[in-house]
Amino acid sequence: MPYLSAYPRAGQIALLCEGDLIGYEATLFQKWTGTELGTAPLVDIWPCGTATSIHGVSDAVGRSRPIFVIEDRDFRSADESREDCARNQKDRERRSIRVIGWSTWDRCEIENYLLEPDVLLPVFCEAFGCGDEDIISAIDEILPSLALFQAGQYAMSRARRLWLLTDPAGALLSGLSLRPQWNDRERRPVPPDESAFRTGLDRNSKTWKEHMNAIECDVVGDFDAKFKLWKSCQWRDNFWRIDWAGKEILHWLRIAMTSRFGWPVDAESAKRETLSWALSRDKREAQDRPIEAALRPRMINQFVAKLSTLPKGIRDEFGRIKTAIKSHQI
Amino acid sequence: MKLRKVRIENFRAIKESEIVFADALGAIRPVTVLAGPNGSGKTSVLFAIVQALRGVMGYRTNDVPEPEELDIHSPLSMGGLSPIPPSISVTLDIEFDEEERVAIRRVMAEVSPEERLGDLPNGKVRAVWKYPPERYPDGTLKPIWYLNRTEPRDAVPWFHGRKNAITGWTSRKFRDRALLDKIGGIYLFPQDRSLRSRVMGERVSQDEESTAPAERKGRDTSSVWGVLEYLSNYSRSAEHVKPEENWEQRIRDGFNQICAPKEYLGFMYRSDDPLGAPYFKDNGRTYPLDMAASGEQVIIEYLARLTYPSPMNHSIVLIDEPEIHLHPGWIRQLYLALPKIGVGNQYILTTHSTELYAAAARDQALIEMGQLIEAN
Repeated sequence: MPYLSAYPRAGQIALLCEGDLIGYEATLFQKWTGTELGTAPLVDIWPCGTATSIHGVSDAVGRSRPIFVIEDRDFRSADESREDCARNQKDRERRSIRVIGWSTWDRCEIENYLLEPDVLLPVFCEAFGCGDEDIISAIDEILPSLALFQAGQYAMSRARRLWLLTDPAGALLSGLSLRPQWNDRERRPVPPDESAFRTGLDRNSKTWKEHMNAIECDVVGDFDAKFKLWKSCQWRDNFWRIDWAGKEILHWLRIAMTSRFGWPVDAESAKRETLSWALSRDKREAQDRPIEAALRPRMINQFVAKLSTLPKGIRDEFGRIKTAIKSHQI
Repeated sequence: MKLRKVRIENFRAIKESEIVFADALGAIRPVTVLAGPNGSGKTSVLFAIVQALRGVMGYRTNDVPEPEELDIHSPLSMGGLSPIPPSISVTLDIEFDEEERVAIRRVMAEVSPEERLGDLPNGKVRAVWKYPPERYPDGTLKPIWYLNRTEPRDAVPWFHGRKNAITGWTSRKFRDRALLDKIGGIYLFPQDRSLRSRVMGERVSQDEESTAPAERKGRDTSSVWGVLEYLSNYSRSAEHVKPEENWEQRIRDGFNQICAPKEYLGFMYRSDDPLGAPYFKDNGRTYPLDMAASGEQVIIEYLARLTYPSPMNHSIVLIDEPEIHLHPGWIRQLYLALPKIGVGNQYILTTHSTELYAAAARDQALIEMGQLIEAN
């Protein structure tokens, strides 16, 4: 029997993703599901902020509606993200949450799909009144200067991943019983065996400490390896569109373009002024926010309009998502 | 014709308000959504635009009552009348694009050559409408629809383009139909609840012999039913209807895009329904318009009204609370479909719907007209 609840929104399937209410994921999925699926089934988009928050939201809505989850892949390999997703899905299903699919983007994050030439070039050309070559030369300058950041982020993600594998939360309680059992005959709960629990906890704790001591993480080696590969990256390469953090590339491209071609200082006159960006990180991001907000829907619209002609890998990926959602029997 | 900015003073709920319909890059948005609590002035914005333009554009509507003293936003005075009674002022910054200006010039030359079109080099017109109306030198009041001022001064005839285009086309004064499709107008979908009368309309003839329900006999094109019948007959009667002039097909496509898996089949004559009716299909069941759900009637009304008497392109389309009667899923679909209905239309919507609110916010197309809880 389905779990009854006051599901607060219209939708037969909840699609959980990262990002905020007006972020790239929510905007793209709103347009794409509306265009590709219509109302059959009606997909309700839940931008959850971070991947960690997706777990919490999946608990909150997943018993009321079947869920489909897409996380950022970040710097994980395809195999790692597959393993993680399978584990997450199994874990949620154990909690009676109906999971249609739990996956990551094939690319690092959603912004990476907007780096495709057929998306990026027309939008930036129109916004800045420039030619393709202006954008390509800006990218050619930006990429080598971002290689260190990207390689550093990669190395950090490797270290964090190893740390997560030794996270005590799961290991300490593994195989131990904390909850009471219900005794139908006596109609009362029977508490777990305290002595057995303490013995088990002591054993797990010792094992965990050995694990913690055994962590071997070559952060410097990971960084060196990637930096060597990535430091001379150019527009003509393709790996940066897939494996780098796309959000950062777009941020620096906006900086480069507004400093060269200017940005309208008010919507009424559309008069442009070149912007200065020698600012603290906070101020730089604050200045970039309205620029990003203005370009975001244009990029998403262009992506959805051009999806059928984008590289096969992207078409296949969105095709898989569509098939998974459509094939689910409501 | 596109609206870049409106400035409203002393009209109904609005003391003073200025709304810009362009995005950060200066481009006029295809869809703008005005959201806010009851009484924040959303409907007043739409009414102000209609009040200012309907006189010069020949747009007849009973949905916006003629202005009266009670429409003037008057602050309550303490112990007496305010010394200078305020007046309503609506200022519109309007733009005609190059293609539209060329079409208007050609239509006016053929249909109304006595009207002189002044220069409009960049296509921009500022139009000001006020109420109460000013007086002529002889002391008589100017009509309430009189446009008080335009910049440039002689810009009023530019607003006559669409009206002249429709009369010129129907009276066969010109034959280039593309001209008509390039000239924009204005249309308002009100939020009133008299959906049934709008959709079904009134009977214009009676066939006493017929056993059909009385309300299904002969309808004129003031009703959605009548429009659908007319457009269907037009598609069938013309020998070589160009694909772009198969309006019934366009309405079918639009409906099916928004409401799939439900379908609009078109106006059909059947052995059990010889008078014919607009028919729909859902899950194997077919049913006529009068049996359609109110949400289906709303969607078909949008599509029909934006098609007849002439497909609206380059026009300002105002929709007051489109969510009425619609399931949230259809609201989302309608929002996505609107920019594809007609060419180059500018839609200005008001809403209380969280679906529309979120969709517009994601497109940077939301204008918040007030918060339910004001900060102290």
